[in-house]
Amino acid sequence: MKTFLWVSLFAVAGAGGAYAQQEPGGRYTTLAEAPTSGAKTETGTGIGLIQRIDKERSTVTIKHGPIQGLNMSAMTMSFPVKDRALLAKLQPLQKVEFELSYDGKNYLITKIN
Amino acid sequence: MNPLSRRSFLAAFAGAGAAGLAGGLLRHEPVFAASGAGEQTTSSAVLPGAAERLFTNRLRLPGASGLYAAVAAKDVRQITVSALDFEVLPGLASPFWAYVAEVGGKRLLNPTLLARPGDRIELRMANRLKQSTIIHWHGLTNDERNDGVGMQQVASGRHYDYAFTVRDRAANYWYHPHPHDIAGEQAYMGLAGLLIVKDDDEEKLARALDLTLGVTDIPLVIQDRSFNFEGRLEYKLSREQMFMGFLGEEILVNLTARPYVDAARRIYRFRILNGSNARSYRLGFAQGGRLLDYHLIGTDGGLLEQPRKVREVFIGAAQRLDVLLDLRVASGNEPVFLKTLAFDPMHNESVDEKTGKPAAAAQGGADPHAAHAAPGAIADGTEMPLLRINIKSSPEYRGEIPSQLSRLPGPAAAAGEPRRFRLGHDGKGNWNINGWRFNMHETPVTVQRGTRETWLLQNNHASMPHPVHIHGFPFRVLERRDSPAQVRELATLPNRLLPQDSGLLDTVLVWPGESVRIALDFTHPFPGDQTYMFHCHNLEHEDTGMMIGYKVKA
Repeated sequence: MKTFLWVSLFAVAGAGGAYAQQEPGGRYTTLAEAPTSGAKTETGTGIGLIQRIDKERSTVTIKHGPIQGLNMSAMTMSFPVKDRALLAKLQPLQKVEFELSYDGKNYLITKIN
Repeated sequence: MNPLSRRSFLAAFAGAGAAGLAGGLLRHEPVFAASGAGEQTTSSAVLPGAAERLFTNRLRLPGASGLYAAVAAKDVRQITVSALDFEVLPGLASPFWAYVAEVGGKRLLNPTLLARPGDRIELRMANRLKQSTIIHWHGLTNDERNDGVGMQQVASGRHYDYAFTVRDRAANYWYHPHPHDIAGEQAYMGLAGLLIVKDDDEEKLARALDLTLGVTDIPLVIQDRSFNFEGRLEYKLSREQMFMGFLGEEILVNLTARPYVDAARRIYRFRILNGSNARSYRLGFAQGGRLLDYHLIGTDGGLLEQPRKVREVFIGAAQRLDVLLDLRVASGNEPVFLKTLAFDPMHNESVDEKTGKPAAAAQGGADPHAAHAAPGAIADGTEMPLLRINIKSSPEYRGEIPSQLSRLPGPAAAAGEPRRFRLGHDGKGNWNINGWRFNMHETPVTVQRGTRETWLLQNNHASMPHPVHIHGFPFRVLERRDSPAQVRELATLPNRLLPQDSGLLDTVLVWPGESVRIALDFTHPFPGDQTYMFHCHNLEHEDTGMMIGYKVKA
């Protein structure tokens, strides 16, 4: 299920890449939300390159490497952040380290710098 | 699925996203829409908002040292082709390959070489890469040995000595790698520099407009690139991408991501090189919702006779455009953006050749090239801002666009039937010219030194745009036929020519279904037979064989 979800999200991000580009980095607007049944919260850490920051939606799109702890391979995805203030110092194409939690349904960036 | 229906499908998909059918997660907004008055305008939501704020990196400009530093070509004794670390993105070291010159105790990367007609250039290329390479002096009239192509490439650790006289008009030439099979990777990794030849006409223009190189006379090298998650340059191609050409995730100007430049309210000269591997651009300057007029003053082979007022111009890979932008026409202090405007990239490689319509066999099936753009790559033809120009308060400026720039004799066409070249592919993923693919030991075309010829470059319908580059001899465009509508609507000159067709060229963009007739004069001073290349400058096409050698018989 998880594998299917990632493949789907990746494909959608790719299709977005062909269109929704009225600004640099504006190609991925897919929220990483996983409608799987409840489980205990897991946490992973990753390194990535900021693609886009959406302060209205409190999301950040990251081209990231493998996420240690969540068994997530490298890809480009949008994640919600725990606190909008986390976005304040981010810039597109900035390299960041981030912490990502997964509660069985949603992904959430809890730290990023 | 053929490309046309693919586009329809994706457009519908994006439309559904905008309508909320995809959960509101995808957004697709048209950026430009034609107004009733026939003037293109931008949608108001686009530029003044988020995109504007994203351009936070100061544009890299030629300075006294470092990247693009300007230096007299005759003072350069050696160019070392080097692999090094370089911060393409701020603060992030990336593998980067550069032409490195040491001049006057300064280290220059991809220096902007300056010369005058008649100058002698004598330098050694030392290859410190782990693979073979060779420098090609793009646009210059050289003998075969100094032209620099795969036949002369030198192995890692070896060197090659160039010695030639600059025989060409003042113009914006450039130098880049031209090894067999691997030019695309080498150019992508950073190897490219400008060679600016100046003459009295150039200096007259600079005086009249008070232009200074690197300040108000600004080279702009446009290249698209992709970075991995650590900000390192990445060049990975699928088989489909080798067929279509590399498309990156970011469009850089002067190796600056999302750049800005501060400007005064005056005339600027931009010497634009499309240094991308494969991407074409439709360049315009926009302020808010308005496209600004600008003046085309030169092409690959130097200044036009007179400036030509334009609002948008196509530029294919390897081509140069020399333009003047008068920022006094901008209103207020709202920034102006250099943009690539939306266009149909015409990846029509799967259409039926006879009808130009989607091939029956492809209508219900999968398009083998549908995945050519890697996830995240900016699709060819997408509208994108490239450079933000901040308008600053400045003293009064009185310069005016001159009415006369230079003298450029009209093309002298040869009588009789043209020599025909058809651009196409074999249906198996191999582009070719008249069915020929590159063979280093063959020259399927022979011309006689001192003669004139007309060549007819015919691009198949089942094709994509090809920027055709001819080594050894600049040429003039005589006529375009069967141009696609988006090209035809910009063709303001007789014989359906574009404004940039009125200049001297070394590369011409030929669209699917289009025929372009060009005039060549094979007069040169070099003794003996000379062999030159004639190829598509989509570097992935070049690397996979869309190139032939032609012999100039003494």
